[in-house]
Amino acid sequence: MRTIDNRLFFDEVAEQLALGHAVRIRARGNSMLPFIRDGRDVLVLEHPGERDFVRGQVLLAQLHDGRYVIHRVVKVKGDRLRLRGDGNLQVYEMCSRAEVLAEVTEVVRGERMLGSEALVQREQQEQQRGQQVQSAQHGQLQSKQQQEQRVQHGQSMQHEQRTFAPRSIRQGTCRWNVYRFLWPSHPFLRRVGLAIYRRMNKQLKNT
Amino acid sequence: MRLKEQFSIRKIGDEYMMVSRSGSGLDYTRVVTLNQTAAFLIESVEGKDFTAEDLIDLLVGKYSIDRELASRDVQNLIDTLLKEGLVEE
Repeated sequence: MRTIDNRLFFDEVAEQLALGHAVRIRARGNSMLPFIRDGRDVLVLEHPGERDFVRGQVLLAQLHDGRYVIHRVVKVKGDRLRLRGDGNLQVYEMCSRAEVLAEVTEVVRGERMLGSEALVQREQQEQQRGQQVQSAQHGQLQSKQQQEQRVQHGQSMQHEQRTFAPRSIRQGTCRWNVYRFLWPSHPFLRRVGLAIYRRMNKQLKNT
Repeated sequence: MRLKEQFSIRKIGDEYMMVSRSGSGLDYTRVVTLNQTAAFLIESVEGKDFTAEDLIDLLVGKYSIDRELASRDVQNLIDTLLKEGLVEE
């Protein structure tokens, strides 16, 4: 499995954003849990424009040590922004307005990524189930051909047939605001929240 | 045949890839990686109609290889491009 260097990838993303293009990328890392999930969710990034930054926005910034982060704004003071990942308890980053490259305007939530063998098995099961479902007329098979590629792990493309409808969380919608306002900022509450989230996830994995 | 409008070739580090465009956005979650030779061929015919012969000529011209070998490689590439939905006839 080939990997593309994160910085090179984001340099490219930054270039496209500066040209005014929106960019869709696959989310990597756990620092924005439970809002954004590693490998499953897709982020839509747009150039922030001349608007003021506000608390609660999720921004892509390049820190002065060169690292790229996609974290939430917790404080704005003049030219300085304080960012913190939802999934981080206390660690935060500081950056200037000029170091912000993009705003996350949409999170497209996806299914858990499966290895290709597991996927083939699952497809076969679903096809069998699908035939039964169709004859029983219960619900619909939503077949969507989504060719997915982890650019950060530059594999050559696999045809993957998924049976899910990705749910999109757009900035400013109710679901977006739930994560923005209801997710606690206190480290202890976050720790509890993340532990609950992990436990729920484990249960889902086992079903 | 020609490359479909919505694809453009991008280079990140040493990797070449085809990225799809939708509206004013670029989708980096759906890309096809290319090796250097494929990238060279695609860059050469980007934005214009081409045939297998054109690609063979390009390969033979650049690498001075046997035409028959080039022809097989080109056919492989074209099959892949068609399969991945990158070109239209």
